[in-house]
Amino acid sequence: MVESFYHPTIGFLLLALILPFLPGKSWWKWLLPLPAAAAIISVFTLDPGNYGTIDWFGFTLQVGRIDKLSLIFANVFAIQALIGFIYAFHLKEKSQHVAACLYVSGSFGVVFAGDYLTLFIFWELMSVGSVFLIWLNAKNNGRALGAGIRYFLFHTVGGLLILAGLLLRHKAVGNWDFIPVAQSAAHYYDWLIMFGFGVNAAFIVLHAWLPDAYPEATVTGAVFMSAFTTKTAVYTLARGFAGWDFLAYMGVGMALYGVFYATMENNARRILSYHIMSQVGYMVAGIGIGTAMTLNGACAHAYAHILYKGLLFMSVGALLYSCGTAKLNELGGLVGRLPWVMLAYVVAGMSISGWPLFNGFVSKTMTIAGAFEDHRALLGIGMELAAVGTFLSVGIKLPYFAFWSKPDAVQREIKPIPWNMYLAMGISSFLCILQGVYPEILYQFLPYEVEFHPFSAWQVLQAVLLLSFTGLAFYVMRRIMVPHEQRNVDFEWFYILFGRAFLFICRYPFAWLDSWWTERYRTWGLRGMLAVAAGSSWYDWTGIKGAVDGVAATTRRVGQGAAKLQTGRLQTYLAYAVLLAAGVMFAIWAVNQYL
Amino acid sequence: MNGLGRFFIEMRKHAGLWKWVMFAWLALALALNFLIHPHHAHIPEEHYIGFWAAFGFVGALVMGVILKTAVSEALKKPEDYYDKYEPGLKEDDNG
Repeated sequence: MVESFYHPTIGFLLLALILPFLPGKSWWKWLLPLPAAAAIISVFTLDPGNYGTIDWFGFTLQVGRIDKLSLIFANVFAIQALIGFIYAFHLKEKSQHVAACLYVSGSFGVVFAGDYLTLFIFWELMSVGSVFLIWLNAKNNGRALGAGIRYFLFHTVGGLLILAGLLLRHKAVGNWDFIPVAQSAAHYYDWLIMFGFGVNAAFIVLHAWLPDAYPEATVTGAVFMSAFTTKTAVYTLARGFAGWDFLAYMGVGMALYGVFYATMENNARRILSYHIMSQVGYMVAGIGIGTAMTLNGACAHAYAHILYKGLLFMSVGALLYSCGTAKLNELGGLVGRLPWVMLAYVVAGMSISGWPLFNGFVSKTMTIAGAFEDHRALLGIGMELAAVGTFLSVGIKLPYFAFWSKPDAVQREIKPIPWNMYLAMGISSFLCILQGVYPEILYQFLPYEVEFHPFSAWQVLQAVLLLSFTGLAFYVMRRIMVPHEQRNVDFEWFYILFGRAFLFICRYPFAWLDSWWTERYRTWGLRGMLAVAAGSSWYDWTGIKGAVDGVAATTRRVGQGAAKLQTGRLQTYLAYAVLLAAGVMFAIWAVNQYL
Repeated sequence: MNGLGRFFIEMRKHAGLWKWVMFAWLALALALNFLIHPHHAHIPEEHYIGFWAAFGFVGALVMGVILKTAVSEALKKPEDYYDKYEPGLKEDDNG
């Protein structure tokens, strides 16, 4: 059963471990694409099967479940990882590369995990890696620190839902197997796990972390994050929860909710963030409908989405990099000076909108046609409406106001964009068009056998009619669509309310209790303490003065060392905690293995 | 500015021409709808000529107008609305 097997996680983890210790200024950057290249070779050569288990502390962790479903996700993860590291190639800060490596390695671990325990470990690794992609932007962006803390809190809650679910499930069924469950047969612990995945998939109500955090991440960090977090959640839902009616409705709801907010939004990276929610909605809906065709549609859409969404974040990231802002009301008229960025953006915008000859068309139509063929007309119509909103907001509004609407502000300084960023955008654009023209390139990876031909005359014409007349509507109301500098409140408003209520409870009732206790303690406790102290001081003077002096000096030295570690910054503590946890886990594994 | 950039700037000067290109494109798409029909209609309304054109146009118009005039007005807050809660922002820094 166990053949030799290169797990793509290994390369990324290894690079994350050695990168901080490599000397020299920049030669190491040529190492960055290597783990992704190794991952690409691995996913293209792996045959389905069960590879590699690790015995750890009496548990058997199944780290290599390879089948068509895990392979299609691993395939696009590997390709996007390569594109992402090319895009980030110019960065001299090793910390950003380390964070990205940890994050990507976690995502491969999740996709190949055969049991819930393994999945959970890698799930948390992803969460930790990704939060640093936000925090490392803190010196450029004052909002990054808070956004990262909120992001991490939210993903911790999601992780705890999964942990609670999998522990309760283990108690009930006696195993950690990550296998499908039907909604009708689901127990409360299955729902807990599903909602834990739902946090990462950005279910409505649980989604506000996404448009809160992604716009504050580093330029390159957002490119990575747009690909992996939500799509690993899509994978886990497809694996465990296919055919859940709840997901079908939630998915269409997400698809619409995301475009509604994107239509109103001003910050380009927040528009794209809401569109992640919306596009993931299509995938969740496909999973929820649960026919072979819609499941294929969900997987195909995840693949196409990772490519075009990465391209969207890369081109908007290039705008942010060169102009210093991603706010539409501050941009405009840039087509003359950044024409290639505009072209890359338009390729991505046509793809996400589902124009024929771009890859969004060959994947989105599959999900929608699948919904109609399963006689879910309402869901199908909802997705068509979301497609209209998608083209309206991200296909026309964003590029129009960023590149065309106003005359170029000639006094605006534009930082030159490094060649590697252009190269990454070029590769993505090429792939988006290639898959749009030759859908078999994408369809060959799909997990189920389904005959689907996107290029029937009617399907092409239907898409052209739908989107072209959406364009006409934009033309008619282009003055209404002008973006304004504003923040549209979303569910984060309720999160903050909840947080403040919690703070209130801590601050007033608990603080009162604390001061009451302190008062009692002072009157009664201190008297006793003084008596004890009198006794021990006699003992001290007569007995152990000499010995104590030596201990005190040692303690002071340890204290000084520890003080260096205590920076008072949450992100530093988190990094230490992860290092410690990794060390402990490795030690236990090593002891188990060799003793 | 490179050659491609100059080309786009030049094209922008002919916005009036491009408008007519767009109208011609729309007319062509609609005309094709008289010739091309769905084999297996997903919904009965698909058989009407121009159904999806109307769906796209009206859908986008209603969505755009309601969201940008009513909903956005109801939800709008200043850009720095949450900044008082931001631990990373100092008084003189607005991100």
